[in-house]
Amino acid sequence: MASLIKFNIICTFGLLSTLLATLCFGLETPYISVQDKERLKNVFTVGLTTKDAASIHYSVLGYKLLNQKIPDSKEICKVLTDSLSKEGADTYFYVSSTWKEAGCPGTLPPSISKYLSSLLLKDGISTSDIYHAVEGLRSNGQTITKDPKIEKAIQAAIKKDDSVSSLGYALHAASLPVTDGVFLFDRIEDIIFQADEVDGKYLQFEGGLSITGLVISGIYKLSAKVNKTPAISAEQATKFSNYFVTRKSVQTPKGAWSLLNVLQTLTTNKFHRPIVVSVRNIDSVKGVMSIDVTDLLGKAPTGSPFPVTLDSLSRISDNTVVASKIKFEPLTEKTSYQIKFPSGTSSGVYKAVISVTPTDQAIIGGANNAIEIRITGQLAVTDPLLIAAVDSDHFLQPKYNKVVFPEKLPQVLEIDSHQRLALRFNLKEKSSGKPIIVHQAFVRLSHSVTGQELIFVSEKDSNNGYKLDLDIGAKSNEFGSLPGVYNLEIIAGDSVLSNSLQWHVADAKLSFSGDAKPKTTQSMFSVKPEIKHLFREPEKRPPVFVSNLFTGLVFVPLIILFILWFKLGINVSNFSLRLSTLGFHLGLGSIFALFVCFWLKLNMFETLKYLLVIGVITFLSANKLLSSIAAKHKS
Amino acid sequence: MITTVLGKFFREYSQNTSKRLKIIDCYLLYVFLTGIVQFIYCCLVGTFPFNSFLSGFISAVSSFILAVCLRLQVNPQNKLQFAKISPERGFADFIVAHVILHLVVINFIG
Amino acid sequence: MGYRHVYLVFLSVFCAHLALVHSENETLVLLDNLAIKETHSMFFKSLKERGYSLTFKLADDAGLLLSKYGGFLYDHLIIFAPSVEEFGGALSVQAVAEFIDGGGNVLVAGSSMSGDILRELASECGFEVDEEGAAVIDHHNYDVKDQGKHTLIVADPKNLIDAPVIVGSRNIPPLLYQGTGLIADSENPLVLQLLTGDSTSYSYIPDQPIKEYPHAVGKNTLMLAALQARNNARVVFSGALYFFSDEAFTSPVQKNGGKKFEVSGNRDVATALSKWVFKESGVLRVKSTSHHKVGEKQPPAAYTIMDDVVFSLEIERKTSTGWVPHDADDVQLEFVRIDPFVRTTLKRTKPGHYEAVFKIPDVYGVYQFKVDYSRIGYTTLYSSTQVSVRPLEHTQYERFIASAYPYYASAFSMMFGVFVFSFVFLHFKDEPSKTKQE
Repeated sequence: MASLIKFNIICTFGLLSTLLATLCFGLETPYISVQDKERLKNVFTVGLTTKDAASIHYSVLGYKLLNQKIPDSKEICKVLTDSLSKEGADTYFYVSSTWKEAGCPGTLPPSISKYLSSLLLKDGISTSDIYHAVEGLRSNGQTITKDPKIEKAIQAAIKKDDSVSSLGYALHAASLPVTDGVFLFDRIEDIIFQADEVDGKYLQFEGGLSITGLVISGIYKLSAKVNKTPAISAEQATKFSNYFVTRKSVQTPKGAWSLLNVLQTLTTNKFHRPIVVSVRNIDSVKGVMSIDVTDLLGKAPTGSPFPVTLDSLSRISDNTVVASKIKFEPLTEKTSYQIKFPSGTSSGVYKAVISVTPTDQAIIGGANNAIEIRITGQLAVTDPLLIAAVDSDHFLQPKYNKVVFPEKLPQVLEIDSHQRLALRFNLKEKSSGKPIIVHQAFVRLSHSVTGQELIFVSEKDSNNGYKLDLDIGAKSNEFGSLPGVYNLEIIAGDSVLSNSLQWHVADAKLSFSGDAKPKTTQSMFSVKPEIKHLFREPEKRPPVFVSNLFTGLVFVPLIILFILWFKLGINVSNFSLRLSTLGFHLGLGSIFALFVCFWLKLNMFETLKYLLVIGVITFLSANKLLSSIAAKHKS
Repeated sequence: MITTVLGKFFREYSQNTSKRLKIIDCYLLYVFLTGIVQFIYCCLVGTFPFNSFLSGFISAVSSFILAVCLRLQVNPQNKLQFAKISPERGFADFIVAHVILHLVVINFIG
Repeated sequence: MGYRHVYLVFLSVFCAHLALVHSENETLVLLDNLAIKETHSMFFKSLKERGYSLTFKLADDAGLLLSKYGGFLYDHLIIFAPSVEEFGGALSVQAVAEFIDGGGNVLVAGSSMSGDILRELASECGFEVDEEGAAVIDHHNYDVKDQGKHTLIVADPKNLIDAPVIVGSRNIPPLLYQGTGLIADSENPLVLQLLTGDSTSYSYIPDQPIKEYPHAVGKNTLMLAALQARNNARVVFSGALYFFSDEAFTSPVQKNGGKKFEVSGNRDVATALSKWVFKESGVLRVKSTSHHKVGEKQPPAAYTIMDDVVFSLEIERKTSTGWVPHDADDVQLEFVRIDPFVRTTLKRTKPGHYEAVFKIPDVYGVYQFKVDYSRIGYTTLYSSTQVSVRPLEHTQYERFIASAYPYYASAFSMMFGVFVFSFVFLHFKDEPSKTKQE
C-alpha cells in the first residue's frame, strides 16, 4: 500500500486514464510484457523447488498459465505425497488440485476424499474450507452436483465471517456446481463497496494482491455462471486493473499466480475486458509515433484492429493544442498503430489523448487515454554569437564581436575588473528554424592553466535569445582574483533535444584589481615539510698553533724565575736529609701529583680520600719540620 | 723625573731588602707574568672554555695573593703586627691554602 | 551433581556461540519497502558472502533500536530508504549521529524523492542534498536507456577520486547513476568527493525551467560522497539508490552516440565502496614502536641531548586474510616538545618496518615521538611515545680542549712553582747581613 504512494507520478488526467509512471525498473509497460512474464516464470521456478505444498501448487498452476512445461515432476510429486501427512482442507486442496497438473501418476488415496466429504458435513466451517473441500473433491475426480446443504453452509459461513477474504472464497465456492450462486451475486455491490481507492487511480482490497485477485476473479467467475453483468462499473474494473499491473513485481509464487490468474480472468471474461494504450516508439526525425493497444496480458484484444483516434495533442508547458482528431493507421502487428504528427510540430513534452473505440461493449478503458510523450528535436546555432568587453559606465550600445558557430573568436578578449563581459546568443530548432528555450544554457569559464572552472546561468532576453552580463569586478571573489586566460564555453542542452551544445567560443584574458587569493588550504593528507633542528653554533676556537704558542709563553715566566733566582744566588744549604723534610717535600709533591691524577682520571670523592691520607702524613712531617726550623731560628 | 724616582726606588730596594724577601719577590714576579700571559691570551681568542680561563687566571691571582700574604708575614719589619704568628706558621698556612686552592682549581678547570 | 555439569556445559556452549555470533559484522539494513531487498539482491548477497549478518527492517518500523544499555547492537548501518519521512522506533538523525560518534559505519543512499530526514542526516555529515524532485541532469552524458529526461547519467570513471583504497581501480567501464545531486563544503577537510559529475552536468528539477542558480553545477555536482570522521568512523552517501541496484549492476552502458560497454562498472565500485565503508580495506594500525640509542637495543631511562636515536615503527594493514605489513613512502616522525623540533621521513627497511635516525636537539625537556599519518582512504594512524631528554651531566662536557692548554699549563706551573718555592724558602740559608756589620 505504502509503495503505491511512492511511485514517481508525473500527472494525473481523468478518471479513466491508464497512465502509469515509469518505475525505476526501466521502460515499464502498463501490461504484463514478455520480460514480466519471464520474471514471473523465474518466481515459479524457484517455487517449484520448495518443500511447501502451497508454493508448489501455485507454481505449477502458474507455469500452466504461462503455458510452460512443468519440469521434472518426480520431486514435485514426492513433496506432494509427503505433505499429505498434514491433515487439513487447504493442504489436501493444494495436493489434489496439483496432482494431475503436475503429471503425477496414479491417484490420491481415497482417505483424502473421505476427509474432504466429511468436512463438508460439519457445522460452522469457513468459506475457504468449503471451497477447498469442494474443489479438492472435484480434482480427485468426484462429480459435484447441486447441494442445498452446501449453499446453506456458505450462507452461514459468510454470516459468521463477512471479511473480504471470506467473501472471496464464498464467491469461488458459489461458482462451483454445488449452487446456482444467485444468493451471492446480489451481494457483489456490497463487496465492491469495501474496496479502497488510492490516488483516484487504483482500487484494491485491504490485504493486498492475493485478496483482491481472489475477489475480482471470484466476481467474474460467478457472473459468468449466473450469466448476468456484475454490479461493478467499467470505471471500477479499470481501477482494479491499474492496481494489478502495478503489482507485477511480486516475488512470491502465491502472489504471482494470483496476479496472472486475475489478469487471465480480466482478459477473457465477457463483461469487462480492459485494454491499455502504450507508446511503442516515437521517431522524432520522421515525426511518426506508434502505439500498442493491448489487453492486460500484452496480447491483441479480440476484434483488433480497432479504430484509434488521437483526440488531441497539446503541449504541456502552455496547454496549446497542436493537433486534434487524427486517425491512427493500423500496422501489421495486430496490436500496433501509427500516426504522423502534423508538420511543424516542434520538439517538446506533449500530452496525447488517444481514444480506442471498439464495437464490443465489454472492451473497456479505450476512451481518453492521456499519455505524456516527448518529441525530440535538434539544436542548431544559426545566428552568430555576440561577445564584447564593455566598460561598466558605458551605457551606449557596445561594439560586439561576432562569432559564427563552430568557430572561435580569433583574438583574445581582454577584460579587466572595471568591465563587464557581455554575451548575446540564441538557439534555434533545426527543423523549424524557430528560436527555442532550453533547460540548460550555461556559460563556462575555465582557467587555461589551473583548470578552475566557473559556470554562470545565462538569462533569457526579450527576443527569445540568451544573454549574459558578467561584472568581472563584482565576481572577483568567485574567481579568487586569479588572473589569466580563461576558456569561454557555451554549454546548452535540453531533455527534448537529441543533440547538445558545448561550444568553445572565445578565450578571455581577465585581470583583477586585488591579488590572487589562492584557496589552497594545507590538506591534512599531504606530506608536511621536514624540520631539521638547528644546533647551537659551537664557539669559535683559535687555531691550535696559537694555543700552543701561548702554552709555551706560560712557561716562560718559570724560566725567568729560575734565571732571577740564580742571579740572586739561592742555596738550599739548610737542607738536611731528615725524615720530616723528606716527608714534607715528598708529601707536598705527591699531593700535587694526586691533583694531576684527579684532573686526568679521578673524581672528587676518591681524591679527597687519598688527599686525607697523604695530607695527614704531610701535615705531620710539616709540623715536625717547621717546629725544628722555628727552634733553630730562636736559638 | 720619573726615571730618577724609579732609579732611587730600585737602589733602595736592592740594598735594603733581605735576600729572603727578594726570593719571594722573584716568585711574585713569576706568578704575575703567568697571569698576564693568560689574560692577553683570553683577550685575543675569547673566553671559550670560560671555566678553564677562570680556573687558570684565578690560580695565578690567588697564588700571587697568598705569596704577598706570606711576604707580609715573613717580613721582619712587620714583626710587631704578626706577634703571635711565627714565619713558620705563616708558611704552614701558605701551604695549606695552596693545597686547597689547587684542589679547587683542578676541579674547576675541567 | 550431574545437572550442574550439564548446566555448566550448556552455559559454556551458549557463551561460545554468542562470541562466535557477534563478529564485527552485525549490520542493520533499513528499507523503504521490502521490494528493495529483491531489487538490490546482488549487493546484499555479496555482503552476506563476505560474512556480514544483515538484519532487514523497514525504516519506519516502530521497533527499531540501535543501542541498548549503552552499547550498540550493530556495527554497521545501511539506509536504503530514500523517501522515508520519519525513522521509526528509537531511531532518529540524532541516534545515527551518536552511532557514528561511537565508531559505527553508515552507508546511505538517496534518490530524487529523498525525504527531509535524509537531508538532515546528510547535513550532519557535511553534505547537502538537493531539494525534493531534483535530479542530476547531463545532456551530454546520458545513457540510451534514459526515459527522456536525461537523468540516467553515464559517469566517466576518471571522475572518481584518485584513491583505489576507496573506489577500487579506475580502469573500469563507465558507471550508471540516476538520482539527486549532492554538494560538499570544500573547506571541510574530512569530506571526500568520490564521484563528481562532468562540467556539463547539473542538479535541478528536470521539469522546471532554471530560474535560480542550480544547487550543484559542473564539477561541483557530487554523486557519491564520503566522510571519514576523526574517530575513523566512515559514512558514504550516494545520491542514487539506483547505483546499487541489480539493474545497474547488470546493465550495459552506452552513451547516446557512444561506444557500448557490455556491463557497467557499478558492481566494481559498489563492492570497493562497501569494503571501504565497513572497514574491510583502508584500515591501518601500528603493530609496535621502539626507540633506542644508536648501537644499543633497549631504550634508556632518559635520553641526553645530542644523542643519536633510532626510532622504529611497524605498520600493518587489514586485508581479507588478516593483517599484513603495509608499505608506504611518506610516513613522517615528529619529535615534539609542544612544537615539533624535528620532522623526518621514516625509511622503510623491511616490508612494514620503518626507521628513522636523527640527533636529539640540544634543548632538554620532555618530548614525544609522534607519528600522525593520515592519507585519503586510510584510517588515521596515531602513535605517541613520551621520553625525557636531560641535559649533559657535569661529567659529559668536553675536556682537554686545545684552546685551554695555556690555562692548564698555568695551573700546573703554579703548582710546580709552589713545590720549588717551598724548597727554596725553607732551606735557604741567610748570609750574615753586610749592612748590619757596616
